[in-house]
Amino acid sequence: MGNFYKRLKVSCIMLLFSGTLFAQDFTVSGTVTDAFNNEALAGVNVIVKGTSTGTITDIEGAYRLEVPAGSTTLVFSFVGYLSQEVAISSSQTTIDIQLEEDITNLEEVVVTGLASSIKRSNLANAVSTISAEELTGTTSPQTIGSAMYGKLTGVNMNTASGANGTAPSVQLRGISTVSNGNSEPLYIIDGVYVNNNAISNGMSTATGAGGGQSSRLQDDISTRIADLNPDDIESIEVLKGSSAAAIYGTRANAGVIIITTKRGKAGKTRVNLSQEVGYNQAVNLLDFADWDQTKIDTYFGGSAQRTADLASGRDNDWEDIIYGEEGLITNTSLTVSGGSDKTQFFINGSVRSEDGIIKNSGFSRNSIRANIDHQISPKIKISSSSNYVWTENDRSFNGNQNGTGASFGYNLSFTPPYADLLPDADGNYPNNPYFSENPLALRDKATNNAVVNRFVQAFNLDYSIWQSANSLLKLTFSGGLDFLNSSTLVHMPEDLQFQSNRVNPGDVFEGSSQQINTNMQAFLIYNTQVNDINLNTQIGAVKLTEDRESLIVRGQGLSNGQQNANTATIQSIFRQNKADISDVGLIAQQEANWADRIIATVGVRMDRSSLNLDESEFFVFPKASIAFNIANFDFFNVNQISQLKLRAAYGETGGLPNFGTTFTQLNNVFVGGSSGTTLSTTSVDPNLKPETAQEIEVGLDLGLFNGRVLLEATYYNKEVKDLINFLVPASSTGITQITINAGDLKNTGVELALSGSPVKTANVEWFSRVNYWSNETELTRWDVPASTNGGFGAGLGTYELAEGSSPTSIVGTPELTDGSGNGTGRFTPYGDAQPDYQMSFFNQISFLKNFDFTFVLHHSKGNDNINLSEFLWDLGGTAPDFDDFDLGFVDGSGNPVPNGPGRLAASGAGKFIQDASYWKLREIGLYYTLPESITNNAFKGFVEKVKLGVSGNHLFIWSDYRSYDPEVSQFTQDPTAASVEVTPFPSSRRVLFHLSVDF
Amino acid sequence: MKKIIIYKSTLLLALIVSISSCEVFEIDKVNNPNAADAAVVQSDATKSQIQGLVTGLESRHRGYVATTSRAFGSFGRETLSFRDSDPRFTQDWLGRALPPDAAFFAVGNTYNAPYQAIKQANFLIEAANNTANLTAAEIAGVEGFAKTIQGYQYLVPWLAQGSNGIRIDVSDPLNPGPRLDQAAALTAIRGILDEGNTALGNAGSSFAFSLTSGFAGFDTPATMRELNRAIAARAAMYAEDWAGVITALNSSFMDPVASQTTTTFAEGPMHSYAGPPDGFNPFFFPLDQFSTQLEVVHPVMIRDMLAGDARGSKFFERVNNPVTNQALVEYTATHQDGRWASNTSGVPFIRQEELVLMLAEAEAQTGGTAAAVAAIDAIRTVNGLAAYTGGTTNAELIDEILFQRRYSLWFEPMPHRWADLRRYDRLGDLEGDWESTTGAFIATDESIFTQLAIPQAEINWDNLQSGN
Repeated sequence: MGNFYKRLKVSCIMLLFSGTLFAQDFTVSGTVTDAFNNEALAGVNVIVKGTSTGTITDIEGAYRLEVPAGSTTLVFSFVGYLSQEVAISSSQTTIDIQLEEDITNLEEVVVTGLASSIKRSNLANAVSTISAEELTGTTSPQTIGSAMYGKLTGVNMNTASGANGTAPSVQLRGISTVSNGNSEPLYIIDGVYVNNNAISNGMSTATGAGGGQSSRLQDDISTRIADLNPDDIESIEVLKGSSAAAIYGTRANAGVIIITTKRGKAGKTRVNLSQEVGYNQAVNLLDFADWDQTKIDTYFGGSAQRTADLASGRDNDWEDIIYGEEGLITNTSLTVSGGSDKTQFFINGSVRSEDGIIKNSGFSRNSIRANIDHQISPKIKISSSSNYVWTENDRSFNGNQNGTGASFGYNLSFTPPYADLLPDADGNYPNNPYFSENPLALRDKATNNAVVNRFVQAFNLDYSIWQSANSLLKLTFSGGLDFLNSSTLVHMPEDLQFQSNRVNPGDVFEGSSQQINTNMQAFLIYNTQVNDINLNTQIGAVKLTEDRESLIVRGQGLSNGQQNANTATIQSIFRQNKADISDVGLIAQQEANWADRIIATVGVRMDRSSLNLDESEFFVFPKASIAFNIANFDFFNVNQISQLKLRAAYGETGGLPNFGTTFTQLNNVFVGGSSGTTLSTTSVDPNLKPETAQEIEVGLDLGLFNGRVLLEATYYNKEVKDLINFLVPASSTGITQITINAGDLKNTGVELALSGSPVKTANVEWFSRVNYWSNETELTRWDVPASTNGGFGAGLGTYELAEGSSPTSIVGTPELTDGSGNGTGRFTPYGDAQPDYQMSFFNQISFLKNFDFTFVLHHSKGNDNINLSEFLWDLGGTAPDFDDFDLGFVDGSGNPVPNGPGRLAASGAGKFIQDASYWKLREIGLYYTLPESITNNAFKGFVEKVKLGVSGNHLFIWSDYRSYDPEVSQFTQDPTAASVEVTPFPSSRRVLFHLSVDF
Repeated sequence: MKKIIIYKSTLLLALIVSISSCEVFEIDKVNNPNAADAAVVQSDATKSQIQGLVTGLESRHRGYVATTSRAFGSFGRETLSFRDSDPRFTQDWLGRALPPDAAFFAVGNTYNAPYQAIKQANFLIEAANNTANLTAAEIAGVEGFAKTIQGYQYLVPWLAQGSNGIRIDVSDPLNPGPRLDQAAALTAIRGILDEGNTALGNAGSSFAFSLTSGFAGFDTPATMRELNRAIAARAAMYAEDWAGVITALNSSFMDPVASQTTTTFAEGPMHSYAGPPDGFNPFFFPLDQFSTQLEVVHPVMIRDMLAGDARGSKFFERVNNPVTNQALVEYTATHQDGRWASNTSGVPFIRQEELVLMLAEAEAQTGGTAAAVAAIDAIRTVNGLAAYTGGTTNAELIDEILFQRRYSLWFEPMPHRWADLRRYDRLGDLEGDWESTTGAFIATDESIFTQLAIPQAEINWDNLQSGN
């Protein structure tokens, strides 16, 4: 192997070396200013074209550069500005330049692969990028996912719970699988393949949620991307489909989200201290129904308990008592960054703490990051990114439950305002006669806590093996790891109402999980200029491993408030799980760029993985793309059009079977003190393959008025072939499912983005972007019988998988019948969880020089939910509109019936399925930067910049949906069957005040 | 230019080949770190591996118990299933919503669990026949036990599916046999029990495996045969082969009618529970503790009970905590299941008391009036009632036997009352839903179920095979 590289190096040198005669060097100097306001630009890169010779401008915008003789062109480039090329010669040595602002980010460099990046204006795919400013500049998001809402086209996001510290689920260009995992994109941070698992904690057993009529996990947990600090991010690039993500191969079916963290810049050491203080409160409380004796007599059998309690005059607003807290949010962040020409550093420490709208709920994150870059020699550069994070999450008790009352929303559905639940002076909580638990006791005594310690390390080495005037051979090596240690605690003390009636009161689940992902990759990159064609060749290899281990112990029968499972009467191992995965990929890619006019790429990735039945088999994922920058051709001379690009891209990616899928195992069982083994009821097709997605994307980018307006239009057709799916044999065979490849799905969609700067004057600058996107999903092949999927059975609304229909379509009772009245096994269709389309408006207005105003509006249209909260409220008589008549129900004799009883009496599942379209004000922020003169005077030059602001997150929801928030999901991890609501944690609005000081 | 491209392509190719042969890019086969592979027992299983599968069969054998008892208890108006968190357990099982359809609420386990036990038994028989570590007699012992359990388990879906019939040949998951009609399926089930009986006859004096304490007294080939015959008697009863019932009972573990006592009535094999890592008795609930989630005794059981019936101790009165239910708000339940000493008590699945009742019925049906009355008297007197004084026509005796079966076999794992009334075409005797206007359970209505529908997966499979 080593010899081979040596030989390769030698041959490449032989191939490319051509003698160069060095003549006399000369010096060029000048200043660089902003074309709009004539302010000096510091830090502009000035480079002799085709070489690495260059410098940067100083604080006055001045530069001075020794250039080799024979150099003909200087390139001026600066982040956020359009770069310029200027001819030079030994007689033309003073060059002053004005740079134009790059309003629509044409110049932005986009990371598109494992070892390559490309100028946005040359991209053949619609890669969405979110900069730090857009991501965290308006308000302070809790998690990376929540910062992306409304800022991307082609994405469908959904937050399952209003609990602080919840990462939304993200689906790029529709769902990419039906039954195989969660259809979440791959997250890569500085090259590290990040762990985004959700770590189970036993919660659904403690609350009984898992004991009901759904086999899906209902632990109400978040995926672990929530650990990572959004403030550390410099940019997020989203490879939405297979055509863009093909180079990531077998793990990229659901797209790839590439996150780059902030790095230091050479120059003055910058110190930033920022402090945020704010609160969150429920965004939309519902105000449950009123009660009177007639209601008790009519609908609750004249219950003596209710009659007496009502007569007591108690009138508690339980919703306000439980959800009415105003939780304090604080976030303190200190950043020091800077460095020399050789070494740059970025160090950040931040401490975030959030209390939720339910007492004893909340989220904290402490994060330390050190990013260091060092140029060892002119040829070798290394960089390291280290991040340690500690998070703690108290998620409280929400969502589904069975027989325990250990869910506030479920509990309150049945608890009327006259219930006597407030604790007495000695702290004794009365039993709740209307449900299984006193919700106040649950809130004050029970625990649902998760602590994560996490360390993410990335390392990168660039070695310029060989360089000439127009060629470069480079080796990059990178590696990284993501280590995560999680401890979970679910504790139901023995004196809770629902515990005290058990044989062994008191229940505790203590979980611990260690997970480590590692990655290594090596690439050889060869770049050469042949006349006006630039060729970039890369070959490389990648290896990934994942190792997971988790253990949950359970203790039943506790005393004296003990939480240690060791003190329990009955101690058991609730669950133990291990997984061990490794992948290997080989990559080759060739790009050709003809003077930014035609840019073409072909590439291939070959992958093998231990998740496949045959771990040694390679699967091949090709890609090809082409972009025509018509405006760059000589014949094109329409001045108003600065960019006219036609682009097309094709690529393939894969989706691996989940760990464990390929095993046919014996399960260990225990009966009457003996242990035995049972044959698993699942098995696997011996020819199982990974899922494969193929995507064609075509688009048009139109830039007008020197880049001030940009329209990007994209159409894609993504087909996922060989869906990993379950053949369900006749249940009498004792086998419940055989995993096979049996189906295809197709996502087609349109993404439109119009951005620009409608107003740009000395006093007002307004940047605006309108996004529109829609996606349609169809199961184009389905080789197994149509089946219902997810939810709580056909009677309460479920989803259907059938050929020719959308996999997220919602169906329910009554069963459809054939011509002769026999059941067909198919159910009545009612809706679809996927929206018809979504839109968002991003606006940023700078005015009076020192003010910045930003807001993001987001609209989702035509998505449907299964609203089972309302069903529970109706059963308990608490539905806000229980006593209203606006839904027009009538009884047998035509007399009007109120909504609540009307809904309960209505047959069929249709009543549970509701339109969940919405408008949301996702973010809004107003900032004021103190004028320099004031800052200088007040702080005597000690302080460079002071910024003050106020912002809001999720301030308003406009929706006809009859619950807290139209974004719901009892089953987050489920790609097709997620939009079920069962009394979730109500979502909150967040209001924050900001102070940021640069020293 | 062209040369360069060719040269570079060759280089690339060479590099890829050399990289792919490099060791770091090899992937080791990952063995399942969480459980054993099924293949390890498929050939040359050791005795302890066979033992593991036998215990596994015991575990599968009890898989049906909780759901089957609760659902069929509701259908036969023996119990009501109170679940405030999911009103469908009460409403749908009382027939308020819709008649059973292919995906009827929460009854899947009454079908799937028995067939999973049957699958485990087939897997065990295959493993035993594919190893050199067992003698012929030991193999016969395994087969006899496995087929005895299979015979018992087949009866559960057979009863629930009624005239739909069921599949018997289910050994190949991708090629199951046809759905036999009700009579043919029962004949086949009786055949399997007979095969088990024969095999046990060739099994020598002891098994090569051990069973849990639930099978105490049935843990040798000879005593297992007595259990096999008891189950065969039950199957014969459903086949209305009354002579067959008597023959089978004579070879079963039934003691003479005259010597029956409370103790002998309770004798029989049980599903055992030991607590973690094993499960708990699913029917145990602390007496009179507040809850919104438990089985309550159907009020007609209390209403119709004879004074002095010792079986009344099965119904424990909730003095402090009567239960109401959101799905049945006008009704307050007063009694819970009081049969269990602790949450690790075993659940009997066939007892001497039932054998005596089967004898009474078979004698009554074959003209053995005196023997029938003697058996009825045993039931009555052991349970604290006076001897039988009613009429002795066939109809009168059957009336009496069905009444006694209702109290003797209340809420036991098989669907007793529901199945008994269907056998005699008396489902009309069942009480219907609660009627709020009269404040009582009405005599009968359309909410009575005759049988469950063929499950979705069975229909789907048939359609798939026939290309529909």
